[in-house]
Amino acid sequence: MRPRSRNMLTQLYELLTDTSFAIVVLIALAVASILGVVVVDQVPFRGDYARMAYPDRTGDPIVWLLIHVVPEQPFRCIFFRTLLALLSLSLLACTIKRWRHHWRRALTVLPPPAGIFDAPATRRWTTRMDPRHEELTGFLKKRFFAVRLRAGDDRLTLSATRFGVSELGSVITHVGLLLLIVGALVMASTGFSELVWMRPGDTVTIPQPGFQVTLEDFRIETTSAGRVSAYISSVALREDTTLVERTEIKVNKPLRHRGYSLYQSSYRQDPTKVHSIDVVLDLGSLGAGDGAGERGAGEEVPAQTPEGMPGRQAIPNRFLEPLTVTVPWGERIALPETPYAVAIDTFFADFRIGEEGPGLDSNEPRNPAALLRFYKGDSLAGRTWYFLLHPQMPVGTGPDLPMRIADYSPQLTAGLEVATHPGSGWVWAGFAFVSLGTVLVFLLRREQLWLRLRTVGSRREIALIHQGAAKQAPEFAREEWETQMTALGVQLVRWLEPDGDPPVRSSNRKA
Amino acid sequence: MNHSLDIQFFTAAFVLYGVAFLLFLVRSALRRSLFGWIGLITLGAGFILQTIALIVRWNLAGHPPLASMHEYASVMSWMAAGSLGILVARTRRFEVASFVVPLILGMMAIASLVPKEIYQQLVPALQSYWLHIHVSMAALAEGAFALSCGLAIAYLIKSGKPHTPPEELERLDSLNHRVISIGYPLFTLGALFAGAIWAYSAWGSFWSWDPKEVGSWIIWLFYTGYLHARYKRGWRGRRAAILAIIGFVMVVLSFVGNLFLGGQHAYG
Repeated sequence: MRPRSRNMLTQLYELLTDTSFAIVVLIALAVASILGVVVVDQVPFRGDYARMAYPDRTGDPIVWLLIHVVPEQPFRCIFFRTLLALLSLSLLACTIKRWRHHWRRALTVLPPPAGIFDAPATRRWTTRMDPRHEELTGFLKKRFFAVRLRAGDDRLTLSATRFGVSELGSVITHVGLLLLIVGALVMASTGFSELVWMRPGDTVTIPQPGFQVTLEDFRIETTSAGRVSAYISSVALREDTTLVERTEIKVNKPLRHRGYSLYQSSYRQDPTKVHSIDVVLDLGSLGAGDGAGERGAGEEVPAQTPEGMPGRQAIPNRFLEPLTVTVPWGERIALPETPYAVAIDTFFADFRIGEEGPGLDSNEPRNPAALLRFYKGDSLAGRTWYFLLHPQMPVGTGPDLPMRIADYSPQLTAGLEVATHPGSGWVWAGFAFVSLGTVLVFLLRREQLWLRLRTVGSRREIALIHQGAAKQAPEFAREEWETQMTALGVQLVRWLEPDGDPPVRSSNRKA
Repeated sequence: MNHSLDIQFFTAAFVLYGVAFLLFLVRSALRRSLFGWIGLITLGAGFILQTIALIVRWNLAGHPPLASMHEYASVMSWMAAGSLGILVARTRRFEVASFVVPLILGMMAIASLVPKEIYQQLVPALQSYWLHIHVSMAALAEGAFALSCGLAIAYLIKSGKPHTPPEELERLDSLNHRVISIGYPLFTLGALFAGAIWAYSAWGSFWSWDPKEVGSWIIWLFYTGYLHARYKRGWRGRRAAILAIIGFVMVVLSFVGNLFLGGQHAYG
């Protein structure tokens, strides 16, 4: 059994380190992601939501699929997480497999492979110069090469490597990706995020670290062209009633404190409160002999103009035009030329009549309505509902004034998202690793240089090969042979042969 | 119809790119390098005009032209045109331009079809220095992917001709790989990481599976697969070219995906 289980483990390891397996996982993740985004966008009811949306059709095959097969959250479902887990295992196995090999390549200055000086890419020439190996080593070390020398009876072999650290790039990238996936899973599993709707004056308390955030003001700043320039929540941060700081939370400027972050996430109109209401009093619309407001709802129109209220004939010309009165929330405002004052009692952004009387149908301003209280002197004279979208049908016991709601200034509530990101350290580390790995892989290339000096008769023969670097760009080459070499190779040859005749033969010959 | 000054320069650049394309076609038909050089000069002139268009737009808006689909497509095509110009000037491979310029024209056409209004006031979510880093790097990366797509098409067409020397094909394949090697790290660091870091400070999470994020994720997975197939499986030549074309198709789908799927990246 033991050999067999080891064999199975080996097979599993080989599978996980196989590039084909990694590519299949990448393709599967891509396909799952496409399906996920399409499902999120095109299938509004999934899982339990589909069960609630289609209670009578749970037997239909499509509804059954929506309930049992299509995941509610495609990017958090077990299938998607399994793919991420497989990717993680593949990354881990590849990292283990490659680590030692890449590490060795990064740190080792390899001796010249057998026969490399006879390879077609090697340049050889004879010279009268006899460079000292200390100078040669210094030349290369100045250019970031690690150098090893091997001296024989008649020859000196120099091996040099630079940018070997680029060999670690892919391993570092794989480790970084692993860190990112771990961080994402930790964050998705243990992170917390909740949208909190706050009116000015409201306080949200975070019990565990123990601090409170009070919204002191929320405002939307706009340009003269009417475009929104900023959403700003002014908040006070307190710990045990001690003020820590007053600050502003904006989009792109969250408040971070003791592991929690507060984001300016959204805003909305308060569905049950307004800043003020504009009412239009149109006394000029009353006909001659019409009463102007003494009648309560349901009462008959009095035959005579009531005391203190002018009939049509008595209305001054300036009141023939409608008059707008702004009624702030919580204040009682006198209605001109009437004996009444008015105050806001209740506001519903989306008014409806339910079994328990008037109520809120939704938080959207679909049917704004206000219950206004009328006072005559200090006594309540009645209450009437006015509807913004149905000005002709006020309902209530208030006086029958020719009045309607023209507009209202909504009370805004700020939507602050309170969140924790417990895996963010892993994620930041992942960013750093992948960035470093990417730079090493794509911006650096490991270069190896081998040079052999040997005596041939009365002259010295030099053989040079420089691997890993790109060839000299043709426009920088002054001689034909230079186009066949790397820029550093050209530099080295010119350093070795300062006097000048073209030292590199265009064709190689066997040593 | 009155257009702002930047759009006039943009249109002029569009026209010059079209003329350059015709000249490169003539060069391919007649095999006279003179037409190639004139085409290259015309392409360069278009690039200069498009650069002026972007600078003028930057000046009019008061922020870098990276905040709308028009601006993004324009920067992407600008990157592709600039890279192509450098590539052709250095390698003298005019025939490559015949395949890349149509893609540039396609990007310019998309840029000219979407709304082009200049908004001096950025919406609050875009008021961040990350806009410059994230969007510019993503546009540059996708411009590089466009260039690689053109090179891949050139490869496929040339590989179908019996007399094409193998060195020529090898050179195209190598160029294609080098261009992707520029685009991929730019995309990884700019489109994905810079975007995630920005989302962390603006939206409260690094990643929210927004349609554009998913599009970028798929593009990244694809090019990661491409590089693995190339390095580890030795996929070169025809197969690598086909992958490069599919990759750019994904880039285009991700770009226009906002029009159909909306999401947090739908800024107009």
